[in-house]
Amino acid sequence: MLRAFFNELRLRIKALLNRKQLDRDLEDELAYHLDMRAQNNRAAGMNAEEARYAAKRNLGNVTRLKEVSRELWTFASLETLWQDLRYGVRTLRKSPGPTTVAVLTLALGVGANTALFSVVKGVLLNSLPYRQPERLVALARGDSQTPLPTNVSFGEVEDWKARTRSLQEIALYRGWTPSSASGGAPEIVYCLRVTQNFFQVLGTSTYLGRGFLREEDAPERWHVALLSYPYWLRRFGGNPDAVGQTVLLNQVPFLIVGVLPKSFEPRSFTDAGSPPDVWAPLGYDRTLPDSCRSCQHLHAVARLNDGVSITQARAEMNSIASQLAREFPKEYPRDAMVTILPLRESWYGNIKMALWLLLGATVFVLLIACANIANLLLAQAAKKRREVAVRAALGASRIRIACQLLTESVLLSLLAGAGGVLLAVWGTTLLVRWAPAEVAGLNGLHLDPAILFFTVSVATATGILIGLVPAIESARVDHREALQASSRGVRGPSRSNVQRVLVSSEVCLAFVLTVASGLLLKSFVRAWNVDPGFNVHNLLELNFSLIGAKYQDDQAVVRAQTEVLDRIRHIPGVDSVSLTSTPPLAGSFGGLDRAGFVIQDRRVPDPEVPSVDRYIVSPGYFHTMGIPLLRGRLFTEADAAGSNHAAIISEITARQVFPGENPLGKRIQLGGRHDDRPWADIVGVVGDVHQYGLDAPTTPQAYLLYSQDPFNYATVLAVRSSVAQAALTRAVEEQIWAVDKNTLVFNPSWMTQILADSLTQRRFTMSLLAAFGTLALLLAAVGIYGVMSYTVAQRTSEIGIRVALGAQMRDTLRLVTRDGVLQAGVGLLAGLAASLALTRILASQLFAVSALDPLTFVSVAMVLIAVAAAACYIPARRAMSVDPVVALRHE
Amino acid sequence: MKDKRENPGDLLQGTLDLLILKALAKGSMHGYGVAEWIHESSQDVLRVEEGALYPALHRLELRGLLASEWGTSDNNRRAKYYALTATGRKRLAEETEYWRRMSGAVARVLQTA
Repeated sequence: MLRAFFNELRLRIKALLNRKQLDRDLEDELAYHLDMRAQNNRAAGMNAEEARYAAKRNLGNVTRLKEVSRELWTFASLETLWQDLRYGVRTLRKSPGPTTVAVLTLALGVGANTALFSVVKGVLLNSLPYRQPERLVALARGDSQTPLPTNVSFGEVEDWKARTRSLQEIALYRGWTPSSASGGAPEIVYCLRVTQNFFQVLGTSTYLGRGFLREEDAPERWHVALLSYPYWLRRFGGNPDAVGQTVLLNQVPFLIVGVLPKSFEPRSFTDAGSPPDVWAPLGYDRTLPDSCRSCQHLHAVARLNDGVSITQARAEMNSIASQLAREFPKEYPRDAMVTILPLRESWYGNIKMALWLLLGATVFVLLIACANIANLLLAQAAKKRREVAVRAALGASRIRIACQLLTESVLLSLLAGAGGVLLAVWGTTLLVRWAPAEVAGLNGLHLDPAILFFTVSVATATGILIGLVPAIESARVDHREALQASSRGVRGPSRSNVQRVLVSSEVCLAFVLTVASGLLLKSFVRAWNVDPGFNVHNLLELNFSLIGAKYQDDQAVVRAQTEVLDRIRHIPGVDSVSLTSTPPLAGSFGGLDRAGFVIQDRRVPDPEVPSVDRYIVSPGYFHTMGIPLLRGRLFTEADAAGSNHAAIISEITARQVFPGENPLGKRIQLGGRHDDRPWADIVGVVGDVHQYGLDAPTTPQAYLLYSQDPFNYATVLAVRSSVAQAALTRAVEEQIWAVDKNTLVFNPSWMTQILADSLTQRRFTMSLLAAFGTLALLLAAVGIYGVMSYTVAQRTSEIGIRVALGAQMRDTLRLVTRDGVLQAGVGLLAGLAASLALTRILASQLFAVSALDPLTFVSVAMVLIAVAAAACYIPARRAMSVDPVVALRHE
Repeated sequence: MKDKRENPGDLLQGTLDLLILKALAKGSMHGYGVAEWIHESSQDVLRVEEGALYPALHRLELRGLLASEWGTSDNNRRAKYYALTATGRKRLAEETEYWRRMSGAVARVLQTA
């Protein structure tokens, strides 16, 4: 059996390699047969000619016989495919322009799709690299006033743990940026301080060494560290002996107890500039004044108990929050609540909608590209109608012809698929680099085989889809009619309905995309033009941390901070300098300090203890930042030196907390009510500042003085100066180090940059969608143009006759373009209807713009009409300018 | 479609292969010879459709039942000679046996009243 197969294969390959010999042999064999038969016939009494004819008649169609034998001998189906491919390549090469456009557009469609799908898969579809990640939730406490609850306080979580039945474990964490002095200037180390159960909650075990012990998660005992895998490679060269050594953090030795596995994804636990490298126990000290119930500076992650749904957990936690609000009315507003989100949602919830939206946009672009190519192939198929008819008449089967047309389009789409893969590789890299901080730099954002497979399937599916249209068309055509139709016939446009529908849908899709990008663009401009509440120009922001045991003493901190301010003030070119505990426009992580706003003369039970953003600043802060004073006065140096505590509140605070009252002179505390602590007099009201982003509403804010409420975590310096950043940073660093050479200085950046960064996600979505919108518009224009050129070319002789008979240019033009304009109009109306329905999805991405913004709709419609008219007019105009005589001789 | 009865000499599907194998049993021959031999030995009853002969020869060759060789004919022309291979001989025996059984069975069926 096998031998027979190989024998056959050998013979076939021999025949394949020696095609000429095979042909000659077939020829000779049949010729010999004919001669013998003729000879025989003559012997039977026929004359020579008659004998030969009879022989031929007997044998039948010699050419056909040879063909049959040749097919027998060779790999017939493969050769047919090869033939089709060569024919396809020839056809495509005959029209390089349209082919290039078609391949490029499809490649763009496929490439954009793949790149976005990679990101969507990496961010939204791949499960988080923790045990049973779908059971993990993020917790935060807020009330109806909190715009984006993200934080919890230590005390309340202790109570939650004691009361909940729906949550297995709750772990807490916070960012920490100590310095490590490995010779030379101190360097920042990105750390995460976590409760001892943190890694159990996530279900992560260490790669080397052990996790944290329960007794290590306590004040004074927490000096142990876990290293991230990349940090271990970087600092210890992957040496297992690292476990047991120590690292110096803020000059305190930390014992390295273990290394986390490579697969552990730490990026999303922080929005600091870099993923955490070192992990240390939280070691929370409840004796510190900052550990109050309303002092929310921790993040919480928890695991749901088996069989508990997130809705049940939400209900339970909210009732616990209400209980606590009743038990501690001084600390909580009455409508205190707990937000619970799936962990993934809490991290990527913001960007999820944007990513799906963009993926949808690329699908639209791909569809338009497909429509364009289908149009191109249809036009080509129509040009080949006579050729196809002739071939059909000569006996080519419909299947055979359809296969050939299909081969052509599959070839086209494979070319485009290859181009698409290249674009996707490049595009994914680009996307990951541009993406907002939540996503940028995540592990696993790259082109993986599944996605490659996706691309190739999309490309081939597209090819078949596209090829089907002309293939079916060609099968439907009555070939007799096609043969009879005179090429000179003056007939109306013989375009198929398919083409009409394609053009209209292109316009429709392009309209939806352009409206969406228009709305986003408008939102972006609106957000960009929001007044941040302070002057962002020539403002450098820079952090420093005072390190060492001597700063346990608050007064030592204040003295050092004051000296730093004095020294920097004297740098040439520095107009003004001041410090704050929290800079504006900081992200929610580490840059956020919310505290309860307690008023002395509003006694308990006080149902409305509002939360405010708390800033601890130096007296010159408002001057440096350019925050306007609205009522009362600013802090003075006398306040700073004196013992009477002073406070300044923002306009919204004044309006919300003291409606119709004069806030000046009211006495407040930030945090819980502690009658043993001093009360601060409100001395002034200043303008609101955008804390959570230009596109987020402003929140109530209050300011205290750094010398009266000392803080010894990272201090933010605001320096107003027109000196170039590098020189200024160096000068500032020198002055800080002159005060204490162990001080950690980090994250210098201009406020304009911080402002721009705060709109990263909006810019990302907007610019990508705008790019896709423009692409869609362009592709639609190309589509209309292509169809119009084809129609006009078909009607050249008709136009010639009309012009020769004296038709007015304008009438003819109208006649020719009418069809195209009509289809564009139908598409426009469909697009309008679709947009009205679809832009609602966009609403969450918009800022200060209605999803049905009439101006955007009207301008987009006008742009599209202009583009469609141009795409119709140009080819029509060209046809008009042809000399009637030439037009009549056409073909 | 032609009516079968109008061409009594038409061969049943598959029979042509058997006849070719049989024709070559006694020695190698060229295509024309095969056609003539079948015609003559059936006493002019069976007429091979010459158009079908050559594809059949080539098919059998590809299947390894026949071997071919170019030689010189009696009248000094280049001609392709076919001969049975060992596999071909075995197949001929099998097919002959099968044909006998089948035709015998058909004959018996037709004889019953």
